[in-house]
Amino acid sequence: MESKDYSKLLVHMKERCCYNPSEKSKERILSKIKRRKRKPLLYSGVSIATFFLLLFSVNFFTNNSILVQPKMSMPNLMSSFNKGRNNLNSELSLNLDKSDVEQASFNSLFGDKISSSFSFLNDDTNGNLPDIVVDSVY
Amino acid sequence: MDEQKLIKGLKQKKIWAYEVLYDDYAPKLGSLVKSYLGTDDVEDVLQETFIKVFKNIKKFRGEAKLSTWLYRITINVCNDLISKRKKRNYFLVDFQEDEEKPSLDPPAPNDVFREVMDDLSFEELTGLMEKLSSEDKLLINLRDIENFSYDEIAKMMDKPVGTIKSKLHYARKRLKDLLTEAGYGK
Repeated sequence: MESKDYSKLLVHMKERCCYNPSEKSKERILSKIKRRKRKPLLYSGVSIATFFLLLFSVNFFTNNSILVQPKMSMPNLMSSFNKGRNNLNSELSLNLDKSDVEQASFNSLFGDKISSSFSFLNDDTNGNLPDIVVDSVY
Repeated sequence: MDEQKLIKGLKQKKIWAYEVLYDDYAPKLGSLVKSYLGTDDVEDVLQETFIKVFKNIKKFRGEAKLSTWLYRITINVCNDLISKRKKRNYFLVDFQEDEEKPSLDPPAPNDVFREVMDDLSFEELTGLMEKLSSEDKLLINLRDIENFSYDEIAKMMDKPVGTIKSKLHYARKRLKDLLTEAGYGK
């Protein structure tokens, strides 16, 4: 094979392997590179945020501790219950007294109203009661 | 653009530097990938190559040319892809046994239209090139099309210069034999 033929073959081969990259491919590759460039920044941001969150939560829980009291023994529980009952009784009696007063005032008011409504009965002593006829025939 | 300035920009992870690099080298690297692997996966290989450049540019000491380094990365990415394909084919070989293989028979030698090399059609050339091994195609591309020196090719392929010269000699011989078999270049 002559060198001339070989060079012609190479030209064919070069044409066959010719590659023209598209703009889309360029954009895709550059966007991937940009994303990788931003990655350390993103990671450092996330780690700083996590650090501050951790610091805040540790601070919060150390300053606002929840005290869990031990369970009461039976005698203590009973005394506290009795004490509670006495308190309740006194409270109730107070309330009852209060309701009695209210009831009394209501009764007196209601009694006055009733008596004024039936005041005409007091006039019966004169014998001027109207005749009331009840018709019992249907 | 000055190569040193470009390398500095790449090391500082400047986007303009990657844009310039892409504009300067993507067509050459793409044609290398196309000759080495065929038409598939060119964009994937290029993407992988540029990401590797982004990751490893700090390791580039400037002992070799930037182009040599880039070609080496591209060849390594291609080799990885070839080994992956081999593995995949190993697992799929049972299913492909009955499949019809594409016919790559050379054209008849007595055809008058093929007496001259100019008449060699695109498809015929493709058929002939397919018969060459990937490495032969790569060597011919790097030396005879891209005009790299033997030293540069040796660095790219991580092989001694003597080996490259010998392999290239046999690659050219195989190509010549294929053309002779097909009835060209007599």
